[in-house]
Amino acid sequence: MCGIIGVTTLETFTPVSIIVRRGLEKLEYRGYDSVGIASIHHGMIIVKKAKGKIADVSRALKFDDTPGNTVIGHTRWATHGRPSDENAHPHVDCKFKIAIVHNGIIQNFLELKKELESKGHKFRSETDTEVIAHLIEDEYNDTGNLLEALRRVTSKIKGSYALGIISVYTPNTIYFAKKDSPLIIGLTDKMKFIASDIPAFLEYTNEVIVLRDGELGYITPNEVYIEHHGKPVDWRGRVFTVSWTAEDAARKGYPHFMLKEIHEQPVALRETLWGISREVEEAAKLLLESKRIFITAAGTSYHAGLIGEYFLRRYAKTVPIVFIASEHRGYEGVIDEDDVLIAISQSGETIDTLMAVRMFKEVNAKVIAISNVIGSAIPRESDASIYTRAGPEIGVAATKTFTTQALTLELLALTYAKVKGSLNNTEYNMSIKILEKAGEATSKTISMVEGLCKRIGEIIATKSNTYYLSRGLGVPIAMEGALKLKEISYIHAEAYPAGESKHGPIALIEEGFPAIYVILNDYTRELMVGNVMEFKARGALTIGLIPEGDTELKDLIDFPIEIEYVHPLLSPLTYTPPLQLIAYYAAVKRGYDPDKPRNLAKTVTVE
Amino acid sequence: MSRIRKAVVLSGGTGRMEDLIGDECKTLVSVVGRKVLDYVLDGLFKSGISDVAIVTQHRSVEKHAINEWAEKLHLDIVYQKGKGIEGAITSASELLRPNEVFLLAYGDIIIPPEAYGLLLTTYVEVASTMHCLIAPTTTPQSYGVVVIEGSKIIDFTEKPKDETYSTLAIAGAFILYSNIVDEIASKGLISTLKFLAGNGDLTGTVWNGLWVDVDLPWDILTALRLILGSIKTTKISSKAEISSTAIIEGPVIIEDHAVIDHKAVIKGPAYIGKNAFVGVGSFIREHTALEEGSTVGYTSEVKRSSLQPRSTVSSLSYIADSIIGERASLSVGVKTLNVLPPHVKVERIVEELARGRKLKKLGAIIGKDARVGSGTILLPGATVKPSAWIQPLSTVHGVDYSLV
Repeated sequence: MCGIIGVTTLETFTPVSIIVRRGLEKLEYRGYDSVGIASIHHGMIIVKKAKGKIADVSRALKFDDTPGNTVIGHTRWATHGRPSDENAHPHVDCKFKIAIVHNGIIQNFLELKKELESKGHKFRSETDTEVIAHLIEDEYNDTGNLLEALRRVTSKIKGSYALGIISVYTPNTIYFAKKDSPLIIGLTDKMKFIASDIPAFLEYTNEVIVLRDGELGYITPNEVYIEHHGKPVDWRGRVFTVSWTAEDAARKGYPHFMLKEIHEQPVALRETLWGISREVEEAAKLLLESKRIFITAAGTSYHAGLIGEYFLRRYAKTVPIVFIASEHRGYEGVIDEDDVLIAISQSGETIDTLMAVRMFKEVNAKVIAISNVIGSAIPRESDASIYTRAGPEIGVAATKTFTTQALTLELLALTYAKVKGSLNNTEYNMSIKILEKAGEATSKTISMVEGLCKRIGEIIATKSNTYYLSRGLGVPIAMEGALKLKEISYIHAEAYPAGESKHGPIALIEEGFPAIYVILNDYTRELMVGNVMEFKARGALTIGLIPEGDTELKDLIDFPIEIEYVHPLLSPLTYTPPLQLIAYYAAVKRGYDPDKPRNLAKTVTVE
Repeated sequence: MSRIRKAVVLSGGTGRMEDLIGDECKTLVSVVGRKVLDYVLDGLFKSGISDVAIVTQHRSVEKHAINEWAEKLHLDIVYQKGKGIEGAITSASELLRPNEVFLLAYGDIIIPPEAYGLLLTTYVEVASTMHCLIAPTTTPQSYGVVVIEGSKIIDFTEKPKDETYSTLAIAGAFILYSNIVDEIASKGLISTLKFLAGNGDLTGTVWNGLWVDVDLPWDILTALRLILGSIKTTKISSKAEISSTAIIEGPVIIEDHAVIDHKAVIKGPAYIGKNAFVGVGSFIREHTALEEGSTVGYTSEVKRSSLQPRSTVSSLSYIADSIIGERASLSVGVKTLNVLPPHVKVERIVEELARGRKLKKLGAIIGKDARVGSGTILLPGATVKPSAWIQPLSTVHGVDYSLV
């Protein structure tokens, strides 16, 4: 999630560049890796930007000394192109007359970029944003009117955006446009603001207009113009006063980041699928060139790794070796340069995983990184990287990063199977069609189950132990569900392959002992029925995720949760959110803060 | 907390509570010492709303609101002209300016103030034409439910037949743009919601805590279970009279001038209202509220029940999962039965686990000012209409509340 701020004024006591720098600091919570500002001064655009922390970059580049009364600023969280000085915003056109900041993702930027390059535009960065700067330049050359240019550009770009644009052609004006990314306007008599979020300018004004999708326009020191589908919008009734603190704002009023992030999964999955295909193809090439495939990770990412293993077996007919990152030393001396390691880490900084990566690099094996943070340590040291587009994850318990990792590994397995020849084109295309349903399937599932999950979570909250049982592909899903519950509600939870439950766990079952079953719609279903019966006969309280319409299971299980989307490629994405919700509501019921579980850190950097 | 200044509160109608309250307004039923409407106004007040227009058909609502809230809120009382929610919203529309953003709250929902705060703060990010509070439910067939994707509501259905469609209910608090009010008036609220969802202009935010829509009499019992279930500490007024041999096991709230007589046992969580009386040897059990001025006689047991203000349960009675209306009176030895037959489906009642068995429970609904004669047996779901008289030694059969 990038952050935007723009300020325009005629006279000011505090230099505008300082107002912008402070605003950027207030947007830090959104997560970022690079920062930059642009200003208009004496008919010139001044751009200062670099990778790094706001405090360091703004000191090194002397942000505060930047002249000009119309300034835009940006914190970047990399999505297209790694974090670097060039990829940081603002971006400018060829002639250095227009500067722009952008939050969102432009889906069709590659085709637009090709078209612009054929017209002679020179690109300086790898970002999707830069195409907008050149598009506006192009349209401005045609029309001589920036507002008209912006109208035309917004009809060409596909995806999500909140844009702030300044230009030497119209000093004292900031143009803006919004679709699917947040953007608001702040008002004072002599100063106007745009920003991604209220805290950015709350120091100066609490009068805001919240922009709506499809709106565009401009602000000047004493004017606000908004239009929608070419028609001017009367915004006066839409100004409202905010009376909260910056801290309230960061969480957006959500009770917890975890709940927000669970609900963000449909969008995160869709954006990941849009974004990763090229990276996956490169990684698949590395797999093809190797003899053996290893997969390593820790915690939640390890469960994603097990899902990857399942699909590599199923589609690519390969048996990869999956190991827990902290156990990497056990493979010392048996790996060589023909091997490839898939290293999965949300933060890209997990020390155990990094050590495993280094051990493989030592023998010249290849490494593929799967991470949510562009340019982090593990991707930097890897031969190929695939980035999940989940956006920053603030809750300590991983939610959207798990499902996006699972999706990424599914696509990797499918792509590898295709290039290897174990999956023909038709089969591959059909599978991709199914993956394209990921967003919709997850969104529908969450809506279908949340009420039940809340009730079940509140029942589980009164227990002190839980089993999570499944078979096949469901086992890593059950493991992830058990991990979530113990992480945030501190209830002991253990996942087992259901067939193993007879070899020990069943000894613990007594009246009311809860068992949560993950039952997929495949060969495992019949076997699971038997496992449920065994526990029920001993008085267990049975809760089950079951395929929709399975009346036999519905009658058998005390608390059934029906799942509509049960295709193997979708089930890791649809069976996991209900388990996340059960854990979330159990923790809330027990009075714990699920965002900050005791003794746990988001990024584990100690061995 | 973001500050939208104005709220419209819909406080019309008896809902489906006529059997309990007659033609009174359902927002005036008592829940743990407060009217349902008070929960709404308190939440709005605490989340920074200053102007509230209450749409109603009842003088009693006006009187209560002015008495309790006129000092804290700028109140407008609007008498409802048209029918239903549409009529109520239209009635309030003259108080709205064009292009104004305001909060619309149903007067019959119980949510804590933080839920209104959540609605207001999340609105800032979405700025849709209509932004709704959403509550997870286990009985979706009884509400309008939505399918969400992040904060966007992509589908909406009123009372779905298919129980697996969605378990996320429209909670009854919204932020909307005044320009849509005409649309609601002409098309109806449901069609407007559908239309907005289709246009990507309807958003929502999930509230993770207490939510009760008080529409059916037994919704009061759900509210008691949730509200009393969340109290942590016992509070006993110094003006209450607790006899030396009474046993009080917390958490319990006992208000001013309540009397707990000898050897009575109060086993919380429970609420004993102002001037309420618990007779010698009576047993008041979990999730029970004796509202202001209500009375329980000698050696009676009351559990998971609501005694509305000034109602009476006489001696030697057993009252469970029941709602006793205002000033209603149960004579000596009235017994309720409270386990519903398994095949009977009652709206919004879900099976609960009781010692390993799944049971659905509902006792009796006694209308206000009704009198039930001595020794009467009230079967599960039995209803006694307001002001009715039931002869001694009667058997009152349950009314079939099944969802068809």
